[in-house]
Amino acid sequence: MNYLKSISFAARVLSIVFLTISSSLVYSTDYWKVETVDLPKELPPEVGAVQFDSEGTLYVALRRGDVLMAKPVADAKKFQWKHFASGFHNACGMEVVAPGHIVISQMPELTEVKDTDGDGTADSYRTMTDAWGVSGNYHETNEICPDGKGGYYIAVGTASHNGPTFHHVRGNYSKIGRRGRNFSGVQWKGWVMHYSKDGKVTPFASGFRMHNGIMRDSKGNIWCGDNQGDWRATTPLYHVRKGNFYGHPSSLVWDPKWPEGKDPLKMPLKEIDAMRTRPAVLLPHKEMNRSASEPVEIPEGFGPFAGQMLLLDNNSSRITRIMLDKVNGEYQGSCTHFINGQGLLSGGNRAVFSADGKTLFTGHTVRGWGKLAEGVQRITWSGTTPFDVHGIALEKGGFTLKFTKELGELASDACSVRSFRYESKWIYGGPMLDQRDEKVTFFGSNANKLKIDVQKLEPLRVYEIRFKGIKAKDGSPLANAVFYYTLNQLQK
Amino acid sequence: MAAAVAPVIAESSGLPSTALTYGNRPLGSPEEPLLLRTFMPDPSLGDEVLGRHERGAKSPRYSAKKGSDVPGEYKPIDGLPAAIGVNYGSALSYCWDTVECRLLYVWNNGFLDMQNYWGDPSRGNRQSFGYVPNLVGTMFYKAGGKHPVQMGGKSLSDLPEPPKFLGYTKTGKRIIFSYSAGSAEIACEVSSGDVAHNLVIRYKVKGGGELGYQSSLPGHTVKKVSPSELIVTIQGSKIAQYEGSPNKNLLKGGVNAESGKRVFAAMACVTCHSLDGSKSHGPSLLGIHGKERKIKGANKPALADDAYILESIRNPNAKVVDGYPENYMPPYQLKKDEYQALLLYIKTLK
Repeated sequence: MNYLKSISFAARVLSIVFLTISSSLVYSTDYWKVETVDLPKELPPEVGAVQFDSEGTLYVALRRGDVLMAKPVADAKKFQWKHFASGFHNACGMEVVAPGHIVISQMPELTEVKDTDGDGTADSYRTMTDAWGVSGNYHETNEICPDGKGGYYIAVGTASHNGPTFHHVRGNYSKIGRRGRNFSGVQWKGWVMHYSKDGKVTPFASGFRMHNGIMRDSKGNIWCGDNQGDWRATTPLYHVRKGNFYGHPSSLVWDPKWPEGKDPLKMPLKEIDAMRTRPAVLLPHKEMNRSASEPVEIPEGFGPFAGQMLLLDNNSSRITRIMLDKVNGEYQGSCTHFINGQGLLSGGNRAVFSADGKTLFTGHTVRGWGKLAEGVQRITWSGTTPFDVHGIALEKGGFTLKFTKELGELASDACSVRSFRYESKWIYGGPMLDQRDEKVTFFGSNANKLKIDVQKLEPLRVYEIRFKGIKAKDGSPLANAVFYYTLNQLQK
Repeated sequence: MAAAVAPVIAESSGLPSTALTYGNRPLGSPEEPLLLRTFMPDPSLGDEVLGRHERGAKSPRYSAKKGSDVPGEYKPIDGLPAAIGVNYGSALSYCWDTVECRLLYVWNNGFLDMQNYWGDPSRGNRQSFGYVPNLVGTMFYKAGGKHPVQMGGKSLSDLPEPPKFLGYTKTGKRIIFSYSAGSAEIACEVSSGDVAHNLVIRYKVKGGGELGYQSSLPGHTVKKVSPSELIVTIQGSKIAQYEGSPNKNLLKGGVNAESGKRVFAAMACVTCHSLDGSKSHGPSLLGIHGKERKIKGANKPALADDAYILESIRNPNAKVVDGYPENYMPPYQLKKDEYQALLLYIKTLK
């Protein structure tokens, strides 16, 4: 059924098609160059964190405990690495305060590290806080981001049933919190904590599984990814706000208001679902991102997507691009590939832009015993703008997509829409449920905008928008063919 | 034991000799100590010494597939969650704990074997369930009883508030730990004495209060330099000998499904491959043998026969099952018979 609309779009009105296209997609290969940066060959390049200081020196924290630094040079093979600090237990978070002055989040604590005598090597290691427990489980790693006021947000990861806990643990122990696949046997596992400038630590948000990456954007919003797994049907991206619960139940045992003896894993699904804040963006596991790590905001100078977010994938050679859409005052939005293959290592863990915004440095590691997913890479923009979707905005009854270039002619089968939903529950990962092809009632373009009307939009579903054979007016092929929009709420 | 030789840090590299390489037995030297924060071994220190730690407990086994407990339980293991290991070469290794704020044990002629945490470099993977390294060398001091340091005549174990670790400085060969006890700040520096199994510990207090030292263990000499400074000399003696990670023969009893199960456990395969059909990073191995597998980028499915399974262990990226990541599983370097045993075990998973 067609709805022929006479609107200001100077486009042809096209008939409806329902196609699921399995043909190979065209990915950008000419726009961003990926290079591997050599680290000293003696050291396992298990990269826990990457950050810059104000003088443009890159700091790299390795998970066995060393921190290296170097000024980037043109030849990625010829960075002159110096040793700055050592002795950290699985350093997975780092911020640089000033040259020679860094903050490291390691398994047992947040540590201020300083070179006080100016010899180029750290000599002072001061504990800023150790306000969380340590159970002896390998999975309990931490990541930090600045709070913008001299303090930090700390993402405290849960433990995994693939490792044990100890007879003697640090901090309070909860038998109930210890239950489950990924668990919270000691304090603040699965929480975001806030460390204020004066050293006070307060719980900020709960319900995380493995929020291996936390970021404060230029507007002051806090963002966390998480990993597909138990209570995570697919990889999510969360807008983190104070007091909210994000769906993985084990951390609830440490909520000061939690009833004593209540087992979060025995709560009815409905109760948990009603409590949780949904992801702003859901990233289909196989199609987009298997295991989100550090989000990073794109600066000016890196191509056409400044202000958007990139999200590394810890389990694949991919980086996802996030296009946020604010609907009724809340963030939701869409995702597509930014890098897919192109020589990118797997194990994407941390990312940081150079101060000029021209280079993204990525740090890779899986668990430190796979050699295919470890190292430092850098990504630079060629200066050429790809033909791609720049943003997707939800409208009443459909979507408006903005492209980076003016659209060319549209074939009648150029666009199809499908939708599905996910269910958050105990099982490790979950399928796309209630999949259905959607009726596209109208699509047409005006310059670089494309309007797609869908007969029935429903909240709490993910909409897949798929293109076939679309070209820009200048003939460029579309860099990405598939986009996923997480529709938490309709436009009021 | 065919231990892989650790790459030695070349002087020209500009890296210190203590930088952590692929080698599993990192060492410092008398001039350049190595400080390593990791899970540390707990040589049965006991509840009194670890009095500021909480007690872990066994936990029911849980199935994420069922969303409920299943028969069996997870048992806690021995380990110190937040202690620090320091090594000065063959002369001195010690374990200082940030929870108890106390020296826990001292040994020489070796440091730690990190294989349990870092994996076996010759095989390229981890090989245990726990992540606690093994001790190497001769232990000659082990803490016992209450905290030996006293403030105002009271052991730190008896203060209402636990001591709080503040950090450390590391300059040249000196490492000085700091912690607070009440309103006082105590600095502690451990070094080796002039003779074998001899130990010198310097304590200094800032912020008032008289420092004392009382140990129930033999061999202690306490020299009071001033009310705020003590030098404790400990003459230890051999307590135990440690050899690092045992060289386990996984194939004891022959090449069969049973020894294959040991290979499966030793290589920590279960971290990514479930045995009950549930999802994880890699495909479940339940019923895999003889099944058709959909391969990424291939027109037709592959049969998971013996050759397929062996290839998938040796060269996991040769055929990646649709829906799973490429370049994720490392190629496993097993002995020839270990591959066979592992295959026999996988064939039993029905």
